[in-house]
Amino acid sequence: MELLPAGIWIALQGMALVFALLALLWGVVAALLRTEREQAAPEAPARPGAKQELAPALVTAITIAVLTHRRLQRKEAAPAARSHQPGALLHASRWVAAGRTRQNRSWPPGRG
Amino acid sequence: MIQQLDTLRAMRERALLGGGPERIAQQHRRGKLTARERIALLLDQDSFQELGALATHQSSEFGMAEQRYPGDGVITGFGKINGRRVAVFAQDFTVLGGSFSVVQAQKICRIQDLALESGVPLIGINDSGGARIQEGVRSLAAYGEVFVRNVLASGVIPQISVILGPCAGGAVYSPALTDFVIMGRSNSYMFITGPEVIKAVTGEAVSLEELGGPVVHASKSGVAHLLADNDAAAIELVKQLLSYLPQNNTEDPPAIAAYDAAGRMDDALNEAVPCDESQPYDMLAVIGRIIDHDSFLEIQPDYAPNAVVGFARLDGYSVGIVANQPMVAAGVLDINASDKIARFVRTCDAFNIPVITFVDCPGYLPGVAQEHDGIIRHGAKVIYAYCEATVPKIAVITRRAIGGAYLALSSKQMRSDLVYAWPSAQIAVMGAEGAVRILHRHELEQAADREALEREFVRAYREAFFNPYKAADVGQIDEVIEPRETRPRLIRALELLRTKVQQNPPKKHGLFPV
Repeated sequence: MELLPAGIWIALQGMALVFALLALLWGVVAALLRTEREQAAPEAPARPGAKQELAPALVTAITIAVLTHRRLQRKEAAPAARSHQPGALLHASRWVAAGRTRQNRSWPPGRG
Repeated sequence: MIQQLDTLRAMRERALLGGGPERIAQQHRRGKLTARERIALLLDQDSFQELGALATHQSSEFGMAEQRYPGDGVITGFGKINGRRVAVFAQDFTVLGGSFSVVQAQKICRIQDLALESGVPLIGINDSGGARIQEGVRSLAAYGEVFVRNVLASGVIPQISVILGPCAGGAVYSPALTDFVIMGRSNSYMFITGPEVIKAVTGEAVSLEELGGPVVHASKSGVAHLLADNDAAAIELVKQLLSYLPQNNTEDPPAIAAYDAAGRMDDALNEAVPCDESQPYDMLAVIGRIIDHDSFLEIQPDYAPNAVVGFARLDGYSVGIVANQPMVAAGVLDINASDKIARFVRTCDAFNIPVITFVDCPGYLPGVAQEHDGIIRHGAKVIYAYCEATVPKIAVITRRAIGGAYLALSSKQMRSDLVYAWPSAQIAVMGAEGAVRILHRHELEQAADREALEREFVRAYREAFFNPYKAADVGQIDEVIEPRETRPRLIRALELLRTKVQQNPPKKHGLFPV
């Protein structure tokens, strides 16, 4: 029983040390997170009239390239520009399909 | 099996090399791509399926036994251009100068047959020194095999020839039988007989360029439809051209998503035609303001420039444009212009492409030379082509539509579906001065002041006939429209006519006035 105060004292010292170390660690982590957050802070969304990060010449070049590509695709009737696949008869009406068949027949049936 | 695979792979490797690295380097030094490089540029990546890569000739005369190359100077196969199936052959100049052999013919014929049976366009890239002399008459007969297939496929599938090297002798007739010929500006020529033979036979001295260079064929003979600065540009033109054409004669050309407002009206058109009728204006600028922005591909721009033909888009749909060019010879119809227009109208008709005609023509060109060279026969081609065509046909008379030219260029009687006229249109049997001298000959002969009276008669004639309203009165014009309305009018009319079906009387074939 006479050792109880000493035991309580040692326990208190140990707990104080642990909590002190935990507080120190918390402080270090908080400091690190703050530093990290400051470094990786997202850029504010560009507002109209805000200063461009890209050089104007680069923006011009990208715009010209995109427009040229789009024009080339139109000229070549590339798939991206098409409203239907060549050869697809889905868009053709029966009227047209039957009419083309008649147009391409040299002689009526029974006279060949 | 492993050994057999190794053998196959080694043979394929050899086929890829064509005539060998040295000849490939020589081809590059001439500023030309090899056949394989051309095909790689033309087709979508990894879409090419080669046929007959290992075929070789069977000749042994004249040291040919040692000159065997897999593929025998031509690469054939099928692939895709922007996702569209096509058949293609490309002659390989690095192999025996691309000379045309029996094996070459067999390979080309095979791909022609496949293209026709599958209903897909055929593209041929020509770069050949001519027939393989060592094979004698067999090589000549082989040309015939290709020609007959060109003819059978004509009007069924689009056939496009690209000349990127020599094309001489009998070889010229295969491209000539196809629908479009594209020539490289710096490296191509076509002729039946070369300068040396001409010198020996007729004594005429002429250079290769002057005889059969690309400029000659694009501006004088009319053999070439388009010129390209280099191989890559020629291949780009093939892709553009194909974008206006269908896969075959039963299908429609690919339509693209509309990118120019259908209802767009360009006020500048109202001032496009000068008040002074003797002033020319650029019909190309007028066309450019009506069609979808930047969609015009002019065909034969340097041949008979008094007529303009080409492909364009209206609301994303492919159309053929025919027009007179008042900037050149007042847009008159002469022999070459008649040929150019007639051929183009027939091409559009074969491939289901509507024809829009912009008319500003003072008539057929008068002159002894024209009459003697057959303006009657050639002019008849225009009439024949328009009458025969069953595709939608719309005419827009912008200014003069005088005499035979009015009739020939997509008039109502040529089975045009719709005829529009601008308020500036002048529709008459002949020019005012000529008409007055015939109509009022006696009065003019007896007049004290002949010039003043003639001026008065001319003014009266102009007032009576040089407007579109007389023709509209008698139903020869469907509607007189403001020039700025032309685009929406055409688009709405084509929307109606998209399902037009018209059938000609059954016949073996007509007798086109060639």
